[in-house]
Amino acid sequence: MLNSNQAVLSYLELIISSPGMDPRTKKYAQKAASHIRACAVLIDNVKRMTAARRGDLVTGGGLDLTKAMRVAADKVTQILPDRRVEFRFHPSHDETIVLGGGIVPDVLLNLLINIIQLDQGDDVILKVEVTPVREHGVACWRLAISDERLPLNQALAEGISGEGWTQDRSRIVKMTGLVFAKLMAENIGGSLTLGQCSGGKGSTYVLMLKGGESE
Amino acid sequence: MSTVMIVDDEMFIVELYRDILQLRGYTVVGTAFDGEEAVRRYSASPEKPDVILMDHRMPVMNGVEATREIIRMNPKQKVIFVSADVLVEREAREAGAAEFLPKPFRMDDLLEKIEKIAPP
Repeated sequence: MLNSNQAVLSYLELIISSPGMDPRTKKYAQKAASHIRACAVLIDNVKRMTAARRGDLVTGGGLDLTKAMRVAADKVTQILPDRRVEFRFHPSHDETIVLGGGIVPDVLLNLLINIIQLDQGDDVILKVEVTPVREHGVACWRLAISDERLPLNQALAEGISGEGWTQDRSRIVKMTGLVFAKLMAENIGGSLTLGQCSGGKGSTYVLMLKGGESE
Repeated sequence: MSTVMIVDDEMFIVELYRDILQLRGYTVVGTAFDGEEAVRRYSASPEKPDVILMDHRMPVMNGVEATREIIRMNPKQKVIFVSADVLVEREAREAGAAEFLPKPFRMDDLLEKIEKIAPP
């Protein structure tokens, strides 16, 4: 299945790079390529979730959360080239090491893909903050990704935070990337929640991860 | 003109590589559909390719074993290992692969890795 995706994606890239293509066709081809790339991420998610269920998921050691977030930001713009996304980073510390280095990059990528897909605007502006916190006496890093223009989807927020997540299967199917991000975060002792931005407008995804040491 | 050998058990992936490479001025000098066939063809060929694109999961002999055999025959041979399984990267590099490309890849990423080793 991944090989088929690879072939479709590469041929679309060949079409997109062909000289003289009219802008509308190019835009449609870019949208198609975005869907294929997002689909490839979902296939990868299923493989990882299966590994997690078997108990043989490699969670990895320490990783700098802010650096990983910058890498994920670059990657998501490659996956969704038809969307204009601006990231506004507000780093608080030089080093923000968390546990779960083998999983965190995929968690971040899935989060970003879903956040961007939920915002239907032409330009998406995401504010990114990483701050140290203590949760139940444990040192953690709190990553907040805010889209101040996207109103909070209350059903989605309740779904991520509460029981509704497992009861409404249609929601699970639609937001598999968020399901993956939540389950993987929990797998390494962290959490994912969705709430309102501090200013009262927009949505903020909060990923809480246990602090670690750099390798 | 730089030359490439393609090793992959999926015929349509071999064709995909061929289409991309020929468009960028590379010559595909050989194909193989499993690791054993790759080793056999490589060994029999008097002209070695500049680059080998090597898949991992193939019948008979996988990409890591095939890479190891080829590098044993010619330690200077450049192999670009392509796999959806990123966990195999360390094994592939230990076997002698010069580069690792995770699937699904962007066409530009593939070409960048090849051009780094052998310009068209």
